[in-house]
Amino acid sequence: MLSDFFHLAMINLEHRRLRSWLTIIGIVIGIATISSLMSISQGMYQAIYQEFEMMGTNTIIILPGSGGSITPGLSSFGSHLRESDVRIIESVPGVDYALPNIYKTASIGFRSETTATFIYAVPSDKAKEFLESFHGVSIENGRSLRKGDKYKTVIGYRVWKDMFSDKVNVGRYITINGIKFRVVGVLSEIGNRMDDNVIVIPMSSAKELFSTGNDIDMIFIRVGRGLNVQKVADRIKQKLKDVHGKKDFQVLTSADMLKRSGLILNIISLVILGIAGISLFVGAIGIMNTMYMAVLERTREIGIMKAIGAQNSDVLVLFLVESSIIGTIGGLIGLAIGLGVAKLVEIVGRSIIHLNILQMVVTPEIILLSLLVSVLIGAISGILPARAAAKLNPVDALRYE
Amino acid sequence: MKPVIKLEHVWRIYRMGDTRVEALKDVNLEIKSGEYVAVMGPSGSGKSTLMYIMGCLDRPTKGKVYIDGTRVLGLGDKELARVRGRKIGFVFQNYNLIPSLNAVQNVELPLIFSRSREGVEKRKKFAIELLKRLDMGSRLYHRPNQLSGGQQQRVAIARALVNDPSIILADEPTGNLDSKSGEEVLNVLRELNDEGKTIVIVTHERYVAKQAERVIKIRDGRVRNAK
Repeated sequence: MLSDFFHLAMINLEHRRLRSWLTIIGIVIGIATISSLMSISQGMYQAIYQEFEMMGTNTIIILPGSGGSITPGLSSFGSHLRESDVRIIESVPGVDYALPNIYKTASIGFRSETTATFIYAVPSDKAKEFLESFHGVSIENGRSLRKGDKYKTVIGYRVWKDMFSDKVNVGRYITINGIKFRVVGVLSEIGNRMDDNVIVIPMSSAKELFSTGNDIDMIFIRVGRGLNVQKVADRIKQKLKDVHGKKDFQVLTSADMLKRSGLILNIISLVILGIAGISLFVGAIGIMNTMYMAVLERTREIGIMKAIGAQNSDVLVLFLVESSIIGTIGGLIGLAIGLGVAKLVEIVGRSIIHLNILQMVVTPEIILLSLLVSVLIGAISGILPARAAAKLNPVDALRYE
Repeated sequence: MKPVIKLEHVWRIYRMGDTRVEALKDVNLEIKSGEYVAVMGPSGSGKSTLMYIMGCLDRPTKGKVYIDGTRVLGLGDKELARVRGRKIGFVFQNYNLIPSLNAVQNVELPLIFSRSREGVEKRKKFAIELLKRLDMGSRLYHRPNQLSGGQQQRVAIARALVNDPSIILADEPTGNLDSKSGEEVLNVLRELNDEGKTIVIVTHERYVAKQAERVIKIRDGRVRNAK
């Protein structure tokens, strides 16, 4: 039964091919937008998740500022963390160790060239552990910083490879804000431009270089295995608040960070999904328009079909099947284009702006959701025209010129 | 003989804005099984309306209609569609084939709607057989616009026959045909009547009506010589 109607619907769509395709395009655009967005935002979420996985779920980060902003760091103006905080935190039960960080941008010179990049200062005796366990990078060439290192540096992969016209090999000297540092190691490639352009120096040298005194920018904390991270975070919060006299810092567990990143992604996705929704709505109106025209054009045919035994429900189903086919074909093509676009964004993102976080994923949910939405849109926008067709009086329909 | 079509005091009144058009006025008639009846009348006499009512495409404003002994007024849309599909075959003046379907597909269509002869292959075979019987074997996969008027009317007749109805209602079936094709169509109807089908042919042409065993005359919505 339904297969006969499907066949008839296909014949009808074939019969007015151009109009069918034009209608389909309306749906293709909407579904392509939705599926590409879902694919990329899912991919970004996964990438972020992996990054946090790598960092470990037993990680807590302390940032200056009272928080309240979804972008960490923006609310930090005027408040500082101090080196003494590190010892306070380490005294909290459950904390394995805490590592202070200083984050700065500085001008970098190599031979006659100068540029600017990020400086990342860590205690030199903990540098290796810090890089490996919190950032998942290893040393590609040379060695890591070690205890007692002064004015030595480990440089990011891209600093070595293409920040300057010559490669900055181990043993060479670079200048940071005019001060000479000897390159002792090169980090392995992380995959995104920001991280690969970093320069790691010992905390002691950074203090002298930037005259930061006891101020630090961030504290990384490793919680002992198997402990409740949230509980330890709460304890740290309480302790620091007691010492500082007010809460001028933020305590973020890796779960918090994941949640925040997810929130930003969700907001972006929602906005773009809204736009895609509008284009789908326009596509639906297109289907409705095409189907109403089909009903008008085929009024006589509807009369004939009724005369030879078609029930109202047959006519209804026939038109619904037609509009659903339009939706489904639009969905299939849209999905293919959408995933293609997502792949393209990934390739362009990786090769041109070196953003590894841009990656597309194809999940069954994306495919099912896209197809479901397209079939539903086809069917829903076909309901009114199909009902109009089904309700036609056979005599009037037969007399229709 | 039992009447296959029976109309009792049938009125059909249209309202067009403020004007009332009485297309059928107190029509009484009986058509017996196996009869060949011509309904004759000038245009505007109500003969098409009469055919639509006999064919269950239209409902009377007043009065009773029986098809095969069943009163159709009480039937819902679904049952009416069944009556149209199984008991009645329509042949129209302008053939009324579906333009996007080829001859075989047009003939198969009533089978799809009546849900009979399940099986796509069986259905198709039957449609082809029927078309061959009507001398359309060489034009099975032509679309209506690739067929002459006479050929289209044969396809239409095949379509009317496919559900093996007991009644064939033909509305001016020769009206758009040249005399040779018209003659052929009339011969087919004659043969079908010989095989036992009840034929009701609506026409305003005397030579067409001559074929019939009985002529029902209609004028201004009133029927004479109906029984």
